[in-house]
Amino acid sequence: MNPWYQNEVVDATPIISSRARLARNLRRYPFGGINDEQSHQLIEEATDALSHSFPVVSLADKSNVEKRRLLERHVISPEFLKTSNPKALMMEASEQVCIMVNEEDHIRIQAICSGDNIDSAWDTANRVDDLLEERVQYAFDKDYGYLTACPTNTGTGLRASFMAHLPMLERTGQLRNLLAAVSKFGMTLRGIYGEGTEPMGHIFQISNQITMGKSESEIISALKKITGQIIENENFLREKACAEKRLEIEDEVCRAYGTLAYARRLSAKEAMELLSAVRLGFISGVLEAPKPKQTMYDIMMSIQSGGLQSRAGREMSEAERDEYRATWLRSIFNNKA
Amino acid sequence: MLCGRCQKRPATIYLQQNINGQVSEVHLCDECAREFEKPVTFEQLFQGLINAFAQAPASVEPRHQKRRVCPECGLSFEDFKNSGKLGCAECYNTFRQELESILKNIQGSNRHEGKFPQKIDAELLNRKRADTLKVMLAKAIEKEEYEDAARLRDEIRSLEAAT
Ligand SMILES: [Zn+2]
Ligand SMILES: [Zn+2]
Repeated sequence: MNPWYQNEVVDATPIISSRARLARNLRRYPFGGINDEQSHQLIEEATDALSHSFPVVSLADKSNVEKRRLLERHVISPEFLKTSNPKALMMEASEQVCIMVNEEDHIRIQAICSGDNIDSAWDTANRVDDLLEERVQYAFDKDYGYLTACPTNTGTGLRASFMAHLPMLERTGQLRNLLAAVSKFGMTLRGIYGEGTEPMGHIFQISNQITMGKSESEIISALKKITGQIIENENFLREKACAEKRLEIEDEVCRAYGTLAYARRLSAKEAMELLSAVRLGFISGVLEAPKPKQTMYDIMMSIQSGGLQSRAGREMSEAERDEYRATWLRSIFNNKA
Repeated sequence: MLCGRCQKRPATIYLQQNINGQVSEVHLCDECAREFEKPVTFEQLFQGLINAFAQAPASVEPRHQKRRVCPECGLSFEDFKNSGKLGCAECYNTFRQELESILKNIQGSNRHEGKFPQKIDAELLNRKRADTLKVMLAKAIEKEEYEDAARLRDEIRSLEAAT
């Protein structure tokens, strides 16, 4: 099965993907202060419970570049790489389901679906949870629900989210206003970060902040409602701009395409800006140039430092990366890849 | 007042968050506020909240609180205040009193609604059934239907004995 980000649905609307993450802990082990011996026991218990369904991926065998690539693809979390205690990763080839063992919480189940498909992501995560629960003893409290290391996850342990490309909301400055509205409903909106600390490519994650006092289905339906509103705004602004300032938009997206097809050096930041413009061009129908075979989101992830170096099969300096990035993007935008 | 996040610089900015009508607040210095505006991570806000709580004069029996540590993992409430993380499942019992208000403040609620592990389900169903019966019992007594009340009371007792 192909990875989820190769499905063309990821380019169809502002919504790139839908994700459901469950935080779980086992009753028998401490959370943060877990020692190596307990860690190995925990890993054995968790992987045994799921080994029939999910292959275990050895992290120890992975290079730093490859780990970085997994991070960029949101398969693993930064937290997962931060601490040095033993860890395990279970993952499907499609990268749609992955299970991190011994992260901040003992188990993090994550299911990602391409496009606007949060119900299916939740179903998948929920099923993995059921499977695990048959074999292990979860840390659960009748009042507080699933117990987690950080009280911000306690209760359902569910973080449901949409990843969305919102260039129009960002450039019109309307995102700030939305931020306040979104937090009123117990949701957050935040940028996706790349190498630096600046949000890249106008890609944002909308997720629930509250994990208690609401059931999983209530959390998901509230998230859908809020996201629906955000997308409606984004679509409205895009259509309006295309009707009123068509030439301006056309010029911008065509220039971006041209640069991607011909530039000799591109930083990750600049490339993300250009790719964001081209994605906008394709979605609005303003850009008539040939669409690359890879999805725009896949390209965006592939030009991050881990993705590039993993493609090149070696570690590179920043300058080398900028050159390699431009070369690879040229092949993509001249349809030679 | 010191900044609720770094605890170093004076707070100049006041942030309010409204979750389901539950208003939480943090006081931040300029520097932290600027950071705060960009990636709005809940953990950062949350850290401020725990600290704010720990300083609140309402904290009951402070002498008692300071010494109490989790019997399973050894975490103290001070440790929790500093890291924002609990050490094990038993911590939730040890610091239940404090967590009641902390959870209410950061989550807008301190009761789980939603999925239960099947293994715990039977026990929970009993408890929920007992709660419903207690309401019925109160009504029966009000209406002076003592036969019903006696039957309900027996049923509640057996349910509670089972949990
Ligand atoms: Zn500060
Ligand atoms: Zn503990």
